[in-house]
Amino acid sequence: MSEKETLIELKDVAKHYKKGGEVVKAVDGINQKIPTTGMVAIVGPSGSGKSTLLHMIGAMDRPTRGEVRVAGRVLNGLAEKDLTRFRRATVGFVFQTFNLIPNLTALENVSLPMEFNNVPKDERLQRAKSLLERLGLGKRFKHRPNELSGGEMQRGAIARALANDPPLILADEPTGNLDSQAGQMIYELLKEISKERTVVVVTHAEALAQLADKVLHIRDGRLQMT
Amino acid sequence: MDNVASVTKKLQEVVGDVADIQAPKGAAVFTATTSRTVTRLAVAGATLAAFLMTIVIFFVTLMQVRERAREIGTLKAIGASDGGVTVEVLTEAIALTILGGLVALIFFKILGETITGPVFTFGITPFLPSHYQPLVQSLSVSNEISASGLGGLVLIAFVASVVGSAYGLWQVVRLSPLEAMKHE
Repeated sequence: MSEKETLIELKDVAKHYKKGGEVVKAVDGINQKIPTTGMVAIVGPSGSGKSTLLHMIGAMDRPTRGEVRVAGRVLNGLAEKDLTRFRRATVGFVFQTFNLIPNLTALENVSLPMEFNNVPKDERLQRAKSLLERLGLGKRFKHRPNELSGGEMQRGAIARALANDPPLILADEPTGNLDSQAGQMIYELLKEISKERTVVVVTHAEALAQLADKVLHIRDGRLQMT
Repeated sequence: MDNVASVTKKLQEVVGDVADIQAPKGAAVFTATTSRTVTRLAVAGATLAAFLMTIVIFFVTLMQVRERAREIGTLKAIGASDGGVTVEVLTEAIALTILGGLVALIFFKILGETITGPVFTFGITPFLPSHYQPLVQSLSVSNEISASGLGGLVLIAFVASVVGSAYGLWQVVRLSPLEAMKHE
């Protein structure tokens, strides 16, 4: 894979921390390259380090060793302010618990990342509406999260993740709180999105992993060869 | 007026314990002393109320920010700067405090006289001889509040809400987005 085709490059990435006097090796020496488009699933048992790895790729956490390079930038040495700018422009997050802001409407939630990115108001409203319509929430603009179903909230969260048109979407157990029908819809949506950008998904769901172009199996903080 | 004391004594002998006999000077001293005592009590009560208000606003705004740690973590994860989050949360806290103050002022204007009158009467009558009770009950207590008093209260509430929110924010904003989302 050439450098141009690579969006994420992990070199000997490790995350160790102390818990109760013991060193926990949440992630321990991962090397991997992930291309600029397609869907990658990270699978493994609970506590294997899947989410920790995802958080380091998304600049939400720092490795204790190794190098995380995303979209040409090495994240390890960046200051907090630069990490914030990086997340704003490069990453869209989808959380298991949706994490929509409760007192904002669907439209306002989707507009929010663009507001942080100084997109003019008219433009961000237009784009937020267009994204919500594309994700089947055209009649839910004014609804607050507590007025939406689980599937609708997650689609709203995906629309928010796409707001600044980032090259990378990171999804942590995106179907963990959904029924199978809503989950299926989210799988298909993430697969469709991955045609034009990289989608990295942490999941326990076999069906979602089967849709991925690449599956990374992780156990005890290390990638397993399959 | 040289024989006030002897006249008072003779009148007292005639009327017995039914009434106090007071010369104008004594009555004036009594009124002034009572007035001063009531004023001191009112100032002490107001100071205590302002102190309690400060404590309540401080802790309410502090808890509000802590309860929003997950939301703040999410905002940071999707690209909000620490400054942006701080301005947003502080503005909300101040707006809520001002709104709460306005609602309290409206209630005070509507119910103040009805409430403060009986509170004043019941608060002072146990300490006075029984024949003064009709006099105390006939007094009316004003629910007027001076501009400087109101301004002072608003300032105290403003400072308490800013300090409470800022302390809560300082605890949450310095965390990474991930830590903030897990913060209890």
